[in-house]
Amino acid sequence: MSAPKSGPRLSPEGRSPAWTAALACGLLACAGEAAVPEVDGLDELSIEYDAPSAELDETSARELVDASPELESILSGLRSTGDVVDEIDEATEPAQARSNEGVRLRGKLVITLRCPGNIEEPSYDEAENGSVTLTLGVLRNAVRRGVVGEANACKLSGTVAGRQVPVEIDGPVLLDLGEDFPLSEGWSGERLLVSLPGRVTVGDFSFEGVTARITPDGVEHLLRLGDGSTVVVSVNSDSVSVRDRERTWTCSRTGGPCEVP
Amino acid sequence: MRGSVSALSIAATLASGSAFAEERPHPRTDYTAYTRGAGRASVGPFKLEMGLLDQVMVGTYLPLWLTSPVIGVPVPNAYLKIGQSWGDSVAIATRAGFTFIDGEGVAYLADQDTSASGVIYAVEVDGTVRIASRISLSLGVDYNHVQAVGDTEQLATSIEGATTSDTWAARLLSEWHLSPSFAINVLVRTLIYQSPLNADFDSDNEVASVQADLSGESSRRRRLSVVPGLSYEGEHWEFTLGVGYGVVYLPVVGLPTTKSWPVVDLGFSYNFDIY
Repeated sequence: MSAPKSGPRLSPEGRSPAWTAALACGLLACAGEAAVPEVDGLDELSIEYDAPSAELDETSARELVDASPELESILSGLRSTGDVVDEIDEATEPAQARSNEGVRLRGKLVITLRCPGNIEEPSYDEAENGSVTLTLGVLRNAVRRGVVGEANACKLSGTVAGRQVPVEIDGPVLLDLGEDFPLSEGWSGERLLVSLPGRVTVGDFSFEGVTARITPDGVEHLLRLGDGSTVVVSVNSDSVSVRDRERTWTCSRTGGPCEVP
Repeated sequence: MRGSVSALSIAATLASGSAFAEERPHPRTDYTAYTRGAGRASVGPFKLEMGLLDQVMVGTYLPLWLTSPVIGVPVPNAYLKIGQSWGDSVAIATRAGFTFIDGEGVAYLADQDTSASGVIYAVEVDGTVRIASRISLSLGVDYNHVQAVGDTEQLATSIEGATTSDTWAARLLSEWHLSPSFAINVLVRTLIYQSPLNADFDSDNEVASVQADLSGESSRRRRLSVVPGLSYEGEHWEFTLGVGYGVVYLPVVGLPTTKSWPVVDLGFSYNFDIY
């Protein structure tokens, strides 16, 4: 017998991964290439966030902020969504372990994230606090940035005016993770675009069809005005920022004219 | 200059049919289309072989039968090779084999709980041509298939160093016989096709559950190995040793690794006639 004596390294358990691979392959009844879900990123929405179309002055900016008392609630709810999505990185770890430079993975990951309910006393009971199911495409060892999913009465908690308020998300979820990321590196979480065509309830407010762009710097929300034009707003502890076509207005939450720093 | 002329003369003489026309009574049987003669047995640490007829040979890989202390079960395996030769100049052969791995052994090797067993089928077709009295070429095509038998609800999933279930590979063994028993050879193997690996898995923790529908394939489409070596086929002893580099074809399974490694090709056996 001509027996190759050197070969793949042993796994930590002392078993040849190549043997494991060969056997695992057979047991898995190898069935050809797995399909990769065709999910585009939220390119058009991203462009709208980059380039809002409305043109405001100090008066209309003030009127906009005064007419939208629920902004902080919206942003709080969307930020909570981002906290749930952050679990994607940990959830993809088993797939990370299966990728290496010699193997190209493709297909899809269906991740069900159980929602925590009150974040101060989290309870990951799906029956009690619901869940979010996300479908991620994998191509050439990279997770594609476009993600689709469904929230099923997902209960979280957000912060509005310094106090915890209940948040519930229900309905379709569309995500743009910013860029395709290698399984081996995991998701940076630095840029997340969220579109929730379904319903988001934050405390006493309820919204439909809201979007957000979440970065380490904060949460932005695209507000569509009556004439179809758009502005991007974000809320800080003592002010609201409104970005229009050319400027970013800073409006005190206690009133007074908005200013361009 | 004189040294060069001498070397060329020796090489020409060695390759010349006029200087060396002996038959080779016990040609190499692995990677070639030759079979062992009727009643001829071969016993070595790696395999047992026997020629039932001049055209029919059976064999088994011995170490796999002795795996109980390691993986808990023996691994039954056998192969049959049928060939036809025309003198010592042309031969063709086909070989088919199977290896069965019980679920217990699979669970150990795959480091997973599973009740599935594995069956590995290997088929090859070989042709050997003696293009000069001292030089012969053997061209072969290998097909290997691995599949599950039994309950596949809980399955092993690691694909590190991945291989796949269906593999086609081709090889060329070139032998330069310095004597009827001793040869220098070069074995070249290349992958023709490798099917994707199904890498589905499920995982679950307190926060998230994951269902993965994944397939994997090698990132290197062209995988070659080149192994130069020596062989000795005497009346009773047979020995082959090659050292090269490239993808490693797993013994028995015949599946290539995704990366290149140093390759050692080793064979050793004692041969005798039973009838």
